[in-house]
Amino acid sequence: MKSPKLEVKNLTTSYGSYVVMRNINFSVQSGEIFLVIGGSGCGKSTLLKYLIGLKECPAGKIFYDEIDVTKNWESFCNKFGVLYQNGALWSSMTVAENIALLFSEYTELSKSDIEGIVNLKLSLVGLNGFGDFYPSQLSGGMKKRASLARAMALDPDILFLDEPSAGLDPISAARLDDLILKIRDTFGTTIVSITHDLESIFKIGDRAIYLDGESRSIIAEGRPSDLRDNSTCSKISNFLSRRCPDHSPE
Amino acid sequence: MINIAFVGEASLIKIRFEGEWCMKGEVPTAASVILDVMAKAKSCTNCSGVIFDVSRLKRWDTSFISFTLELAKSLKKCRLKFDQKCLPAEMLNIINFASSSHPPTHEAKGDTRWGKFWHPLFKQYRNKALIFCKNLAFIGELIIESCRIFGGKSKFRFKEFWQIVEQVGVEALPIVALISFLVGLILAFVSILQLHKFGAGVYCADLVGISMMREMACLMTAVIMSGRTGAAFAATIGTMVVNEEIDAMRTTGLSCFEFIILPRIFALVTMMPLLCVFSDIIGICGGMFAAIAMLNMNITQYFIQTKSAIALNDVLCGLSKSVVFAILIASIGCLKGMQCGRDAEAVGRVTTSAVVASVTSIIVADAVFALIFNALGI
Repeated sequence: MKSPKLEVKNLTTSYGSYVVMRNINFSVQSGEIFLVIGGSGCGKSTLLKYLIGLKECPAGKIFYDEIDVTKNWESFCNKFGVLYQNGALWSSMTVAENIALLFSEYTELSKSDIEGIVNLKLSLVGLNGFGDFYPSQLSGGMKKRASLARAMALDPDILFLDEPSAGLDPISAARLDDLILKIRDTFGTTIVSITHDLESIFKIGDRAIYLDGESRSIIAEGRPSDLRDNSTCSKISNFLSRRCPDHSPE
Repeated sequence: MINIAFVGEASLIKIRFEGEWCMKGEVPTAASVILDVMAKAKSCTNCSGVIFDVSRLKRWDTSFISFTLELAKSLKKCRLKFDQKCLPAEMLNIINFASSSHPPTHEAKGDTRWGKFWHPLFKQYRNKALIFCKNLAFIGELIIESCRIFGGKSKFRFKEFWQIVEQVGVEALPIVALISFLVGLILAFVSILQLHKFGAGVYCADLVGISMMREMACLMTAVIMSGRTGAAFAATIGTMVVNEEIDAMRTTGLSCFEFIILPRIFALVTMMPLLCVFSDIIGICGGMFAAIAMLNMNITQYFIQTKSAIALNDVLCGLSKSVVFAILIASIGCLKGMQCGRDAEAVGRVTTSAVVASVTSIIVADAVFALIFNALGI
């Protein structure tokens, strides 16, 4: 069996002085689209912060390609891309500069080559011709797409997406899903996505874990359709069927 | 308007509601009704609970639901029953929907027995110690990154640097000019009034010249820069924290010091001495304006008098102070910005905090300079 691209062992996550999740264990295979799902406030975004090295792990380890990166994030930073919920484009730079900066930092490419690749990346996300715009001049959806172009600038091995379709209209969200699938199929990129969007979950997800805020643990793992159809846990089937739990009188 | 009546003296107290119970109308306070109900319940022997008669209740809103829930809670404490079935079906639906939402069950990190004891006791001190350590770490990192740039190990971002130079230098000229001119004018005006009594009005040029060169120019420029540039640094970086731009920088392996902090510090350190010299000249011009108007001195006389009063040491004193003030203002602005929380209010807080800390540190540093210069006889 192939070794996993990303592996999390006994990770404990916390927010401020509160423990959010305990002993999280999961692994993501290369080229897989792996989803982290769960109710609001269950700690999905907090988990992402640990996976991308924004928070130090108090307990547990994170392995990329079997290398423990828990204490060695610096060497790993440019190997993954992150799409933040609000885009997080650098506001003092144009869209093209946002993307080009990574090439000038991590490659020896000439200016004209960088320009060519930046235009290609912008075309991929449907923002051809918007390179000279500043982030403040873009709509929410366009910011997100520009941010995705930046996240996949260096063709990273792993792409982390924090609620990619949040705040997008249904057509833009569907287009983004198609783009995510294309990125995976073309470049073999491993994708870890945090999402609430049910359509997206079933369309792009190869495997998913469900984080439960009450038990502070992963309560299910598997294919999204299997989780919906075969899960014995009402929380998961309700979540994936967009069903309200019963409100029977106490 | 609502009427409340207790009907029936059996084991169940029946409360009849008539009229409208809406928060915008005249309703009794929930606490007073609950007190009445509880008093009634206690006065009744064999009272087992309470029941509502809402058949004549025409309208109700969330205030009635809230009252009902509070009453149910109070009854439960006294081991009395409250039959919810007597409530309108729509109200029951809302109550059930609200009760299906559970409060978060967070677990504190230090939930051990000792943790529970020490945690609140030392939380405040621990937070202060943490902030102190973070400040030290920032200073350390700042020194290391500066050394890396001077040692050629990391790039100096000229593009960002020149952009900030324009913002902190060129764009600040009008306000620095206005304040410096007025300070020079006021100093001259006050000194002329006093010195003229002794026939020494001409020495106002000496006073203005020395004051501006040694103290006022660098101090006033620093105060202006604290309010203008230091606050802008804190607000800009704070907003970047809120928008996750700093996170994006970290996760792409780019150094925040290289791209954000050091260009700002170097830009201010470059521009402050220049602004200080500019302030010196404009301040002297302000003094000259007052002298010409009040003493009928001419421009040449005033400049000769000023030139004879000031020495190179005075100029250098002001310039050396301005460099230190620039480092303080820019570092504090950037540090506060980096420590910003994740909401819009936090940006306002760090901006205020940056200005207060900068102005305080400038005054303290100025006092230290005064002691050092005095000890050195400069």
